[in-house]
Amino acid sequence: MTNGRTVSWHQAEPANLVLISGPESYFASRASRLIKDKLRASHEDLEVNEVTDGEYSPGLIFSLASPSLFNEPRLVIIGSASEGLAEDLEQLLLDPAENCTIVVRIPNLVGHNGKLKKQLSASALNVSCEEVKKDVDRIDFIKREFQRLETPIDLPAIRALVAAFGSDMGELGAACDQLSNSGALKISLVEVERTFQGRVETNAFKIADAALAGNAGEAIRLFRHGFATGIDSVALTAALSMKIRQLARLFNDRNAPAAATGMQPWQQDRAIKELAGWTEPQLIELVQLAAQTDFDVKGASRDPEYSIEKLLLAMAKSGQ
Amino acid sequence: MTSGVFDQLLGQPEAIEQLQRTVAGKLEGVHHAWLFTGPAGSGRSLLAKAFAAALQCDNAGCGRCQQCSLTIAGAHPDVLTLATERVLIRIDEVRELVQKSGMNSTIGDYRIVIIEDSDRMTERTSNVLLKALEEPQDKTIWILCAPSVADLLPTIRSRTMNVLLRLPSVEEVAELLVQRDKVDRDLAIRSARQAQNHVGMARRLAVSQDARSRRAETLREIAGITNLSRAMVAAEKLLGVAKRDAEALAQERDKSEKEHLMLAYGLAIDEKIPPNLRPQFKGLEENQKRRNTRALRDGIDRIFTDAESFFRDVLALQLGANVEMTNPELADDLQLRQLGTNAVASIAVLDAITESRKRLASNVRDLLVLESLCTLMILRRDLAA
Repeated sequence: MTNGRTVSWHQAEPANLVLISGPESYFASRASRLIKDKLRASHEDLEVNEVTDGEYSPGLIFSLASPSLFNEPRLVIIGSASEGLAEDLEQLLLDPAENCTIVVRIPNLVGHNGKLKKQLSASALNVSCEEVKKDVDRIDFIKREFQRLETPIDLPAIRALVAAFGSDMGELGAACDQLSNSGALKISLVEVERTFQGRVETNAFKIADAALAGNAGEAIRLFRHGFATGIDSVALTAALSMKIRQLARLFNDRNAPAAATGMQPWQQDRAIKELAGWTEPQLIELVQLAAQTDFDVKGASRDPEYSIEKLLLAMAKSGQ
Repeated sequence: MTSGVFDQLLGQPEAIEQLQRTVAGKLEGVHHAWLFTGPAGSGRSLLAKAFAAALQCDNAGCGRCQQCSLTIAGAHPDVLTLATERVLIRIDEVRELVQKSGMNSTIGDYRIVIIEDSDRMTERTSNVLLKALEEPQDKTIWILCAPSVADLLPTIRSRTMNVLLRLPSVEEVAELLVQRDKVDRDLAIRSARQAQNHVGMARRLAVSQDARSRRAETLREIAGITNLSRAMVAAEKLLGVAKRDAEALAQERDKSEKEHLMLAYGLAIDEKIPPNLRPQFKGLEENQKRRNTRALRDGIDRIFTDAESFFRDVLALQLGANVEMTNPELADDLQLRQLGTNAVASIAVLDAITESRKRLASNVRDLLVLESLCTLMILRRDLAA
């Protein structure tokens, strides 16, 4: 029995009841695939039943879990908890069916999902799929993937992959697959660059920081990468104008209390550093340009990309 | 000829005369589409109602018969009115209206369709309307209201008879406030002046202390912009003023609407909403949210109007024009600005206000619009001294 044990998603294994919880749905689907593969490896005639979101009706599990004539092994995958499922499973676990694995995906802890997790986690194998927030964990993930795929990869290549696919684990996983199938015996920076064409994932704040640091070229480069990988121009303009607002708010009032400006102390310190070299007329122009740019990206111009680039250049130039 | 229904209208003798002539000769035929244009507060929708009543009435708008009172109360079955409290009129609403406009009249002689705020239609929506105007039904009369002729498509304009309204004078507005709302005469005159002759706004200023203090706060903020940081703070505060203004108007109404809907579904006020009714309540909330977007925009628009009055005064002083000031109580601030800036700068601010209205209409972040406007209003005290 696997009572109440909690493991990470890549250690998922068959058990009477497996609860896959956590927000990262890519890991969740990998975990249930892992369980399926493991079961299939030992029994080729595995019978798989998938119950998608909201299709469960009370009592259904008994017909899915009960043994068939030849007692083939069975796997039941349930998309999310719904009414009656917790009670049914509890009853089922009193007398577990032979050769049957039940996997329940718990995407959040609201309503039936939370109730089920609370009631049953002590008698199930808990697989956790936590969101990946740190680059260290992404590097771990990449290393493990290439180990599994039996392809060696070096550290610079790993770093390049993290920079290119930082935000979405599904994309990162697919990229690892694609690289290992590219035919190269060993993955190094060259392969990554060749396969993904120097793609860099970026966000509005990185772009704004580069511009305000006076680094026009870098800001434009990041922006074009961002634009190519689907950054939203309206959100970007909002972020840029927020940075400009902070500078303008502090220009004549550098000792303003944080409560009045609504900024974090570190934001304020940073903004004051970035103010070096700016004059008031330059900043006034920048505020007005920000409003014009927002107008442009909301339909006033046919080429909002150009308007944003103009704003970035103004942010980078005046500070020098 | 008595003309009861037109009595309520202020300072539009020319327009009323034109309409009365039409009503008097209605047996020879009435044009099928009318466009009433005039600045906000000139009483476009009131005039549309009065005209509708006069057409339905057997006595050219006596104001006493059933036809007149039903129309004025907005309850006449043959007079359809489309008004919106949201940012835009939806295409479905116009489609429905066009369909209904084809029905025969019941108790009146005409089927009359009034579209208030017909400037709030997108081109696609306007074209639905155009179809109906191109092939006029017998005895169906359309009355459109908009701030200016330019707000409508040229194809619609060319099919309508245009009636131009003007703003009533300060004295006329004040007189109305004194008579109708029993406001003290001094206050009435001041409110009318500050509202720049807009009747509805003048009334709000006259009867609500809150509205008066909001206006004073707006102008105080604007007059106090002396550097970039102050401009940014002022923009934030002005947005706050507009938000409070909008919320004060919306809150009461939102709550009572929800209670009405709960009552209609037989729910107690504090009862949980059952799942099968949630879409209805969600729909109501979305509608309210859309309406609040417009309420906030209107609030910001009032700030623009107040700012306009201030800079208009400054410009008048700078050019030595001998006109009545809108804000004589701010004489010191006006003087300071008149000396510290020049007419070119004042005109730039007025232009920027026009531009800001346009930006706001196309969904530019409100704070950003106000910030960019406020940076143009910076007055250097040291230079002025």
